Amino acid sequence: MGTVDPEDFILINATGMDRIRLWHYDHSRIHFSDFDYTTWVFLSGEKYDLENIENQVEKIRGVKTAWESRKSIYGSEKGLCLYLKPSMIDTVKQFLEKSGFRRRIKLFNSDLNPVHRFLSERSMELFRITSPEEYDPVIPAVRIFPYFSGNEIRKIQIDDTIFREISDNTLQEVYSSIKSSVFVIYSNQGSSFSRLLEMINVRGIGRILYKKTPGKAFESYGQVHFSGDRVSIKGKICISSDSFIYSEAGLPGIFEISRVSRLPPETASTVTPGTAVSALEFSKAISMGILIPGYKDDHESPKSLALLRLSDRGGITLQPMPGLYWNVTEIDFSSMYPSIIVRYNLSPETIGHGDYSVPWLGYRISSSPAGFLPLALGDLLDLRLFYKSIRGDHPQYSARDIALKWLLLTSFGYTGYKNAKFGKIEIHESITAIGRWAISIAMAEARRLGFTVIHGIVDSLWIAGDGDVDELLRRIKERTRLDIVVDSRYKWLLFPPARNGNGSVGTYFGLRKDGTFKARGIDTRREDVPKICKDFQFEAFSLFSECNNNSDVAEKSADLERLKKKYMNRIRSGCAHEDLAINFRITRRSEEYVVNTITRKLLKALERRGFHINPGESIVARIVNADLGIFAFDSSAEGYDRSVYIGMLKRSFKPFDYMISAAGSNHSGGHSGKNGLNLLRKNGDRDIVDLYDF
Amino acid sequence: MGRTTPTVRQKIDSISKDCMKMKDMMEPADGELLERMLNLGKVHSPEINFSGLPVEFGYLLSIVFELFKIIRDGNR
Repeated sequence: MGTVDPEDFILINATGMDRIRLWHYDHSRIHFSDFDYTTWVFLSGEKYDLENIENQVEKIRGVKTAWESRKSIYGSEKGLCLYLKPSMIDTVKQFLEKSGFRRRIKLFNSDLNPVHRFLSERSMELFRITSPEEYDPVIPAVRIFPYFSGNEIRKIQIDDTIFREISDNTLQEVYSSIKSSVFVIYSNQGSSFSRLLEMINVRGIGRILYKKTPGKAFESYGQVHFSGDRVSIKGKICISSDSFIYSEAGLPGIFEISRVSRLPPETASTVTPGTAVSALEFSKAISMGILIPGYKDDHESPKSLALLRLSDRGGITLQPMPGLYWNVTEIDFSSMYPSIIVRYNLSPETIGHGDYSVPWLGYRISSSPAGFLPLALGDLLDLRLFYKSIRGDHPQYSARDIALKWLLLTSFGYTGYKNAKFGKIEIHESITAIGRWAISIAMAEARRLGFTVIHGIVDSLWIAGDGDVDELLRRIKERTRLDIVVDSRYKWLLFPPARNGNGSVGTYFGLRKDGTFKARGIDTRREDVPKICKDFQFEAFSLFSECNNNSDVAEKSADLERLKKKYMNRIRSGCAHEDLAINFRITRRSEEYVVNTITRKLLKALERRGFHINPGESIVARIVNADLGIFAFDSSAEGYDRSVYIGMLKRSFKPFDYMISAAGSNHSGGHSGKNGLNLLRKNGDRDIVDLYDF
Repeated sequence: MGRTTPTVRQKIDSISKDCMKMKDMMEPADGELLERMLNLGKVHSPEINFSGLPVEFGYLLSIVFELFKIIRDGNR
């Protein structure tokens, strides 16, 4: 047993399995304290089977048994509790599997992370703060980003200083920075960071004990990502810069995830938000004394094909009509799906009986007592709404808000995940059904107050008109019991047409009344577009920043043509190479391409140079000759493919061309444009049909 | 994850793609008209989703509805 009183210092990490090591920081150095840890698993089932198991497992050294009664979310379970070291749990599971008992009994608390369980059982809080407003503890951290090119480390960035020479002095700088820090944030592209550590050891600069975990490609939300090799340094907390949470919310985001989920920071930085949410649920279950099933058996209830079709519909996405709209307000439900879980008491044990039924689906739900999921997520939701309300431009509060937003977002999806311990597909279906109902209520109330609903995506609505927005929000909140707020107020908002002439879902841009722009789906938001195209669009935005009506927009036609010409001339007459660099995100291997696309040509060009790029990795390159598949990867190679870049630039022009034509089609104010098909035909320009396929 | 059935939008795209096979056998002008008509129905996919109607029926109803609007307005 260690001697450190956890009350005195900040708990910043925990490691181990049978012997848990707590890392406490005292504002100058780390203190370690070790604890022997014995835990338990619980078995319920037929008494005869359990007695048989008891006789067998008692022969395993280090396992003790007791007959107990414990709580699950559905009520009380009587059964056999096995007390053992965490490392023994796999042995017991193997025994149950091989002896055939696995399918005859229910196993609880059998696959929990021992560190996480240890902290949860003792209600230990990582990076403890006494109130939500309190700032994070100050803990030394260093960012070390080696830049890798041509199979060599070319330069090293340590915090904000760049070292261009990889000399012993630079390595000494890296070594000292690591030694004096608790957190090491690293970039390990091409294993560059682990090479750096190896160089420090080999050249005798210092001694760093580290280990590597190989990286892998994975798919998440339809995008292929690649996580590079992970590095752990003994006595340090290492965070990879390609960690999802770190890239979204930085170190304060990781602190927040650790705080709410009780996951140690290194784990919090590597897991997906979904895993962090399940850790939070486990932690809550442990602190409430609720059993966590080892194997999920909350299977989907049998349902008719008609009910499946009715229930499996997701959120509502309204089809925008292409056009230029004036005086638009964007309103959105705050954390809509988690709010539905909490306000409507949706949990596996509250469904199937109760005092209200879900719209369309008829599932009965008990509105009281509060179910496990609403209890587990309620505090998280309140905390997120609190940070959302106070964040402003404050970096720590904003980071916490973003981190919590991701947890809440995935908490909904997790209810439908087949292996989620506290998930049930009927809960998932009920959440989306109530969401559809709520958005329909919001639309109806908006129309009642004289607004025109122009677009909607699941929990957001874009409405045009001069009605009373505050009154609208009040009515929606009263009827749905869900918080709804104004996200943005726009002077004008443009929905360009898609290839088929209808509005393109999720593609729009507009000028907010505070003078800022918001854009989605156009080139300014795309990673795979060169800077010159983005520069054009940003400059085009400012062209329309003073427009107050359709006439003002239409009058900008000549200015827009001049701007277009200026950018075309830049490409024709010779453009800076950095303006033409394109970020290619690789989604598959070169041999998996069916069509010889520009990305396949790029991969082939790299393979000829001896580089193999993993799906999920990105490559920055300039296209020198698209037909011949020639690319430049730095400024040393000359030239670029003018026709390709002119084509890209022309694509960037199109939303603004449409804006002029939409404004020109109706000078009387209000909404103009309406149906993209009309405009296409009026202009007699078939080519424009192909313009808006973003 | 939760969703196990295709979305209304996906189903409509699939139906529309099947219908577009007719275009190859048509006079070019008729083919253009068919494409335009099929696109008309796509704007109501959110309403079809919301109503829970069978997608084929909802899509056809949407096309008829849009054609009705064109006839009513007389200028489209």
